[in-house]
Amino acid sequence: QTTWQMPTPYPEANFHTQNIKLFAEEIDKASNGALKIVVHPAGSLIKHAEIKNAVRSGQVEIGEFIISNLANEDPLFALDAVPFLAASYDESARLYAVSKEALGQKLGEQRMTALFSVPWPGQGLYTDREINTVEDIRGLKMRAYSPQTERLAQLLGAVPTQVEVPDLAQAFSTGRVNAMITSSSTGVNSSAWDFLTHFYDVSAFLPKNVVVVNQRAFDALSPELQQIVKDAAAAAEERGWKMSAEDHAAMRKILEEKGIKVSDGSEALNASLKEIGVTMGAEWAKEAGETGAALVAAFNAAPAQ
Amino acid sequence: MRNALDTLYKAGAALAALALIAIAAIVFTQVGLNLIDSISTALFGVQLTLLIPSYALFSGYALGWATFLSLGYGFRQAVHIRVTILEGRLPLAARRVTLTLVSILGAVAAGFMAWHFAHLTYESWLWGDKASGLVKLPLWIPQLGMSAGLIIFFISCLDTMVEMIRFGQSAALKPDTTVEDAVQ
Amino acid sequence: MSDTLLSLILVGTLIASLALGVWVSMALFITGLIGMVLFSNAPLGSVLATNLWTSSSEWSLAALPLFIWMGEILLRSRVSRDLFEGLSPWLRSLPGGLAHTGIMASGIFAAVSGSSAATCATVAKVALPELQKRGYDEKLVLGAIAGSGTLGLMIPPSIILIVYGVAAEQSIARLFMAGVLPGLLIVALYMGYISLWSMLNPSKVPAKDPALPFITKLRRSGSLIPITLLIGGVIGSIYLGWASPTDSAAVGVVLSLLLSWWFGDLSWASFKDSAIAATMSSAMIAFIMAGAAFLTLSMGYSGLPARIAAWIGGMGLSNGTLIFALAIFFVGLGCFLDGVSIVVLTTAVLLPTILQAGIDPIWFGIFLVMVVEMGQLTPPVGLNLFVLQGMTGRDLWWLSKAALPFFLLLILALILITVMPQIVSVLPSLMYDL
Ligand code: NA
Ligand code: NA
Repeated sequence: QTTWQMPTPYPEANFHTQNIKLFAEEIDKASNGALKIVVHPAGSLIKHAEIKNAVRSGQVEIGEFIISNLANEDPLFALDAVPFLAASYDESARLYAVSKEALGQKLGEQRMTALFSVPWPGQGLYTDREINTVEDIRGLKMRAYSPQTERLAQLLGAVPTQVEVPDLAQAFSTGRVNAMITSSSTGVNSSAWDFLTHFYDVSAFLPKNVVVVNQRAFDALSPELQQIVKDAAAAAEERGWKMSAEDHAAMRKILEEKGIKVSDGSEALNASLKEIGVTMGAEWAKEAGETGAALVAAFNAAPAQ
Repeated sequence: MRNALDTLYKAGAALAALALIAIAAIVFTQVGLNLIDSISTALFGVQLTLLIPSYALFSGYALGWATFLSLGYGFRQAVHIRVTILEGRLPLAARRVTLTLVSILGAVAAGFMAWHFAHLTYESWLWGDKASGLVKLPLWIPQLGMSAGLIIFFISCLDTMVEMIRFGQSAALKPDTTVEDAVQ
Repeated sequence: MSDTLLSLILVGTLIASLALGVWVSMALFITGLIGMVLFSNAPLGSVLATNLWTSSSEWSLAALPLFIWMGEILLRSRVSRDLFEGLSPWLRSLPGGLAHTGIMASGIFAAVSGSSAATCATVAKVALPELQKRGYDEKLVLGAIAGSGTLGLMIPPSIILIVYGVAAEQSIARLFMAGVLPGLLIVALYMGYISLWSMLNPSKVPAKDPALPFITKLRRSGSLIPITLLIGGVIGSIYLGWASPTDSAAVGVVLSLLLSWWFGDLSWASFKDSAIAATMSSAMIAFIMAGAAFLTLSMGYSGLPARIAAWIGGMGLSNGTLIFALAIFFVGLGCFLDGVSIVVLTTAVLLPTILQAGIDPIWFGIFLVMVVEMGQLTPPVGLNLFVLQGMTGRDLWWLSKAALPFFLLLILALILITVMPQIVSVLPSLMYDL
């Protein structure tokens, strides 16, 4: 019997964690208990920032992390965090399809196999006031936590501001920050209604989590077990994308019930944001060189699903 | 030799204190920039982009330096606490045995830590690991300072062990020192 | 190997290495290493190195050395003496007199600092020498400082409530509000105890001074102005949005340096001494916390705390019995693990049971903080005891006996919030559910 330790960054109740628990159960059942995966949610075993390296060095066999955390290591890891490039589940699926192989290769260089990848719901715009056009964002203080979000704030004419997640409530109530880009579920988990008024569901980008397994640990499995893991991963990916969309709808409803004004954003706002997306996509492609340009071209050429 | 070692520990502690001062300086500068910004907003209605990129990250790393680089000096000055209730009741000969054992355990554990932390640093460099956030900082840079601290710490533990084995006593293992004693 | 045997081996290793006289930090690392060898075949060295790296270079910990440094600077200036001269006209006629200052100072300081160790260290630095000089019973004073240092966790801001809020997906702002009244309750219990003890042991308390006229009290309180400015500056910077709670520690350091310079107490030598002493103290505490983090990791690999928590959750207990069983479980864990670790290890497993039992998760967070506070006071691993040992040279056993009454008072507070959960819930619902 083989046991794999699996650290994941998000809390038990989060849909990513729930999906992974189902993934582990399926493998347990299909293998008749020959492969057990012990899930350690909420960074309780390994903190988010170190999960990738822990899998690489074999401290744990398998783990989950958000791909764009590695954006500083290679531009490819930032692709699904380029704002307004792929701004819906369909577009995000197309972007994933054209970039999947390159992504797998990059992670493979670090002795890991990518098993499956599930997106967060589209990142929306949270503000402490009404926003009708991009003009209304100009001069607001906007939370920046990565080079991409900093650049986005600049292009919007906002003031990029650094706030750590635990300080969000204090920062919003004191006006140290007026706007942030994050998902509906993060808004619910941090009780955004205690300090915010508006949520614009503009779906800026759908960053993905990825589940990776240490190459040596995977190779040590029998071919049958490897197949069981691959099948469960494929099922988890399909299920995860659905769960993500369902979660978004549910969380959006909770935000509304708790008194946040939820909307898709005006047409004018969305049009201007799309323009910014074109700029940022081009900037990303430039930074990512030939591979990047080819990927963006393939994405633009791919048929809509 | 004695002088060289003591200088090494002191140099580590001095660097550690500088790292502490750096934390205060980095964080206070960011607070000052926030203050300037809110004054400018209140008086002139102009918001400014004033930020030290990834200041929280840098402060965290400076904390790692402050902790690890001062370990050698702290252990030699007996600042790091031990439970000495039983030890105080042992006859001198028995105490010599337990303290020698303690010093050996310390040296082995410190050596293990220093070796593997240095290896972690090497791996970060090899794979090109970078911090996430606004600054693309290679992780081996902060890790190098912490490795140096652990190596100094290992040397100080070896030093203590050799003293225990050769002379049966070491200033690093005297009971119940307070930080104030150590600094004076 | 059975869970019982595993736990016994770990507890045995920890107690044996502590008893042998191994440094507390190293004893935790060694126990963690043995746990790793027993529980997993993960590469030991690389797990240890990664854990050292993440647990020692964390932003949320950066406030710890800064608050300790602030204490070291104040200690070397007249500000700390002034604190006592300003408070004494008001407290001198209470039974117990100035012994209350440690608790009041902790309560005030807890509103600035998010950690128990930083609160305890700072107050001990500033209050202890003054109280010793005035002839107060050392055991009472040290016990009170150890106990009231834990207020840093309950009175907002609080690192542990942030950790719980993130793990349990609860609003951190509500949790902070919920901690205010229980924090004040603990202050009241402690002050009540000191008054009672002083009335029962008049021989161990310096003679009570006659009360002063109100105007004289007010005039003598003038010496409180500098410390009020300092604390006002730190708290103000948070509430005006110039600084996050962690940032505010740097504000404290700079304001302390300014005050110290204003009073002419700041010299190159005192600056250097304060920085080195703060570095040494904080490194000692941080290295113990790193050891505790590693032991926690090793427990995480074993799955032991999660299994015990799941076992308790699965027993189908009534709410009262469940709370009682959990209190026992957490106090037991608190003897060996530090607070953040306890919360991280067990919240995920226990929360479903708590929610199912219909217990308010905000209330449960406060309950958790209270039992974690108790853990700071119990040997063999009690962070506040370690902090005070590092400052006074008193041994762990003596200190835990001194802290025992305050540990018992925390149990009383726990009973009170269980019987009257409104103590926890009234403020958050007033603030947010209008
Ligand atoms: Na606090
Ligand atoms: Na304890």
